[in-house]
Amino acid sequence: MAEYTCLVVEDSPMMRQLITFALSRIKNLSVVEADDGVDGLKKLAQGRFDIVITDINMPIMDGLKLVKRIRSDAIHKDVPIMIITTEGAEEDRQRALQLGANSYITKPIQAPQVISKVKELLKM
Amino acid sequence: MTEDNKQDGKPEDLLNLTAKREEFLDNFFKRGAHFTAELLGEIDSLRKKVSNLSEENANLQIHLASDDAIKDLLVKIEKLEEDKHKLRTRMKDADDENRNYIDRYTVVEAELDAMANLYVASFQLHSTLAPEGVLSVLDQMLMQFVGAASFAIFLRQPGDGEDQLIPVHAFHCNNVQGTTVLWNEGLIGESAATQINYVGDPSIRREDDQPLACIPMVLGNETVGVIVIYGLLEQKEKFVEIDFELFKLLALHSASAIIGAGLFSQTGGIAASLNEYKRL
Repeated sequence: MAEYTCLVVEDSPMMRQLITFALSRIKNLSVVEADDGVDGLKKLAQGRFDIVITDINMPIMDGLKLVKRIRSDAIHKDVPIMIITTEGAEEDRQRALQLGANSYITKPIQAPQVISKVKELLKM
Repeated sequence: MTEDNKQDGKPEDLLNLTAKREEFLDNFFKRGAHFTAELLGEIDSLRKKVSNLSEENANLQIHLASDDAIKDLLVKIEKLEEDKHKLRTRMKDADDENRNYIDRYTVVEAELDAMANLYVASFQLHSTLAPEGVLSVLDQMLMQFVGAASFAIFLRQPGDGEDQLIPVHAFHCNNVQGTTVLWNEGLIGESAATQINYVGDPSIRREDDQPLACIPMVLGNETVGVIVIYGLLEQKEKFVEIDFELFKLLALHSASAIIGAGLFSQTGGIAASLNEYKRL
């Protein structure tokens, strides 16, 4: 049974698959996928998660709103959040970090970078 | 009296003789005593010398022993130096091997990463049979995998004379809308005609409408169209190894995906498509 659970919120099925593929290389980590921010919140309400990885640009609810919601959530307010996005501008990074994200990675991603950051945030 | 003395001179001589004898004996004993004293002094001096020599000898023996110890230590140091050298050599070998493993691990990691990208891209590209689905997958591949910020997809259109290429899809490059590219003209036309990828250097300044990369989509020996990248995301400074692999995949797989989806949408769905196989 997995020791850690990660929620991946990403509207692109390709990116979701790629991130999940990368995370599958971390032992004791299971992944739950969500299509957008609202789906992410639903999945969060159904269980306990040790880390959340989210995109920013998504339909229905974007990643930044999701970060705000998670930081005000009683159960998951302290969960580490990693942003993976195409937005590479410094102000986007600062905004995400100010809202409560713990890590900010820009696309295109490299699996070792994602794995290393997730391990760091989970203190593995 | 003188005569008497002459007559009895014997006693006088005797007296003289006795005195001489006593003097001689006295001298003899004195000299004997002196000689004995000298001898004793000399013996004492010799004793001291012997004592000094013994002491010196003992010291020399100690020195000699310590010299042996030093020699032993030097031999040990030499052996330890040899051992240290051997250990250093082994450590260097182990270090080299370790570095070699790390290098190989990094290469394997990069290859695994590239394969994951290619697997996901290929999987997604063939996971849909809707033309808009194929274009959406191409969008995602170009933007999220390659890091393209603006790009367009040109498809081949047979003309009366030379074939042309017309844009059917554009992402953040509206200037291509309505344009037509002549076959074998410009970077796009040449790429289509030669079926050779063109990949420029992003660090070199160029006009906005100048392609940065052209990837011809080929099915069999026919060029179906060209994927044209005009700009990269802010954080994407250059094309890397995986991008070239993705371009190869795009060149080969996107054409079949586009044609397949186009044909599928015309046939009337899965049932009609499967009927085609029943005729075989």
